[in-house]
Amino acid sequence: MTGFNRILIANRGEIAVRIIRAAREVGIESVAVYSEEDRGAFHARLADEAVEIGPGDPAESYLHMGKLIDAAQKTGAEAIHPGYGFLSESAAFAAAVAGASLVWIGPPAGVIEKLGSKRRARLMARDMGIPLVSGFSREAATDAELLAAAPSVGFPLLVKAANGGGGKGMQVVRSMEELPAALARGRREAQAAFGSDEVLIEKFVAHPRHVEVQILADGRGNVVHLGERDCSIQRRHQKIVEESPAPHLTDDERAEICRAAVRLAEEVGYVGAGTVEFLWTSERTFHFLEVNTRLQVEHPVTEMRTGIDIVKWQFRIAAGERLDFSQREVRPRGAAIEVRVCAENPDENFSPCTGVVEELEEPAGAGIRVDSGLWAGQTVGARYDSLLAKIIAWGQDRREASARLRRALADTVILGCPTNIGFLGDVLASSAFREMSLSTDFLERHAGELAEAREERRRRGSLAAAALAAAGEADKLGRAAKASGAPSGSAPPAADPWNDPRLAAFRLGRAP
Amino acid sequence: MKREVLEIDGREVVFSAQPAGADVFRIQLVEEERLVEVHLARLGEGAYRLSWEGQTLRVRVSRDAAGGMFLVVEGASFRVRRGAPRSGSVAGAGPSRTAAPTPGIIRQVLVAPGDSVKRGQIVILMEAMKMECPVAAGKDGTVARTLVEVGKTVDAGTELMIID
Repeated sequence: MTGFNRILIANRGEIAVRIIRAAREVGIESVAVYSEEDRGAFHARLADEAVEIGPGDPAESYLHMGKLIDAAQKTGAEAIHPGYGFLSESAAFAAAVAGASLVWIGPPAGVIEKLGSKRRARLMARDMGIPLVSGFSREAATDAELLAAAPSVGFPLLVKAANGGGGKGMQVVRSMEELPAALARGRREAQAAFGSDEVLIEKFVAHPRHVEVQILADGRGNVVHLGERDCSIQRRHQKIVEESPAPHLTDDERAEICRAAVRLAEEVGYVGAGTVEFLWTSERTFHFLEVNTRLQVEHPVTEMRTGIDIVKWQFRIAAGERLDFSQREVRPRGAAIEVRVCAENPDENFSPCTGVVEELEEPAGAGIRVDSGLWAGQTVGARYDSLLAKIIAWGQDRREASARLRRALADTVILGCPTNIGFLGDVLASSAFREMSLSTDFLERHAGELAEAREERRRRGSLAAAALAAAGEADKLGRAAKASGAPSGSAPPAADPWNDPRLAAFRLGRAP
Repeated sequence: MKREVLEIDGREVVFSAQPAGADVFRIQLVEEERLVEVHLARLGEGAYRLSWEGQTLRVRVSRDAAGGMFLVVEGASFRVRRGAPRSGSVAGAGPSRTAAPTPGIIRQVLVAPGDSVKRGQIVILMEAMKMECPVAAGKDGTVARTLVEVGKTVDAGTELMIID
């Protein structure tokens, strides 16, 4: 039914796993690719075939168009799914795939090109009467032009990469003096992440919310939206908690923002799955931000509420099928919340952490979905994105979804590599989250409450570590008592985790 | 009661503890007045249930290669070593060193030996998980030598530059 026998997934980690699973469910064979650093990776083991495509440096592997196309041709794949990140929004790659007589599972190169430039997307939205945040962007704008335009845009302003998303290259600039350095850094990050150093500036909106709309278009005149997501809780402009429905929006407001997204998709001749991102302001207005011409990290939130498998629809649309349901038949239910489990330290400005995953227990149970690329034995390095897994909870209402998600986080065991799970639990448990006090500066606005929760969490860690250390002391006492003939009153001798030889077996590569 | 020192995620945690029955310990964290009675139950290899002050927590433990412990307490991770934070670790890096704040790849060295630099000046650009990560000079002085090359992957806390 899906037109393909075999597809190649040009990605790694949890999203490769997600796509492989969808393919298997509809009878499509999958070909995984992996870099030298990803040998033994879960996604590569899960696929029907796996091809090593080069060194760990993404430029030599996951970003290398020639190697990816070559791998697809050699393995007999008929189509390439790019996932998110890497080459997913590269019009050049989409064109190269099509040029190699392969099917690109995503919007055609022309559509990516039109929307991939934030500058051009903004112009189009403006022409359609969709509100925008004021700003300045011009093709290949020079620093001099941007500096000259800055005073009329006004401070504080945002510097953004013109050809990519995900917060890379994005910075808040508060004064003219800070701008040159911010432009230079924005260009370097944009170049490194997207292969283009084009940047734009726009007015910084205080305490906005990030609300986005999932769309599906079949390229044959049918465009539907699958509802909205609120992704306001972010750190360093990267989302950490995403939910649907977006709290506080009235039905009319929800309908209006979703309609704007569909109109935009129709206007541009969109094909496939995409996301239209908006800022929602405290004055209850929305402003167009950008269109992401790919699968989003947070797509499961929408899948949980609508029951529609977005990845399978990507396959079907790429194979030329029509949407077989209408807008009226999309009936979101309940509430869904996703958190991103990352190898990072929230207490140290979310700096990435590394480690070896010695033991892994992922959560399960009613209402819980886990999209993960983790495996026991994995070395988490600094090379790739810090996202390890996503945990998504569904509930009849937001409160139930949130309670399930907190339960699932507490059930998760990732030994050997530090994660942000404790911090995510703090966020979900906060009164700020419960009371839906959402904005993209959530972490700054609620820093006090989160700091208190962190201190409580640290205290739990300290007492637990102290008790386990003390248990080791008790064991020595116990052994001494036994040696002197007194009855042993305490624990078995191997209870000290520092000295427990059985625990040594949890290290990488050794069977227990 | 004997004082003990742990390093947890780079922070120094000082406590005293004494056994108070089978698998019960009275623990006092140095920054607190109160004694906390912690009950410990062993559930299996590296798995414990700890309870104090009316709360019960599931704790999982593994040893790391350096002889420390890795703890997961109700999902939250903690890296634990015995003893005070060592110099060379991130927390013990000291403000005067010019060290990698995070694991990552050296992308650009912005100064050369002989250059005079000010504390806080960005001297090296690293890349960690595709994000640019600037490294500041740890003190005022003259760059004596750079300890890393562009393209090299370094661990957190690695000293990157000697400034005299």
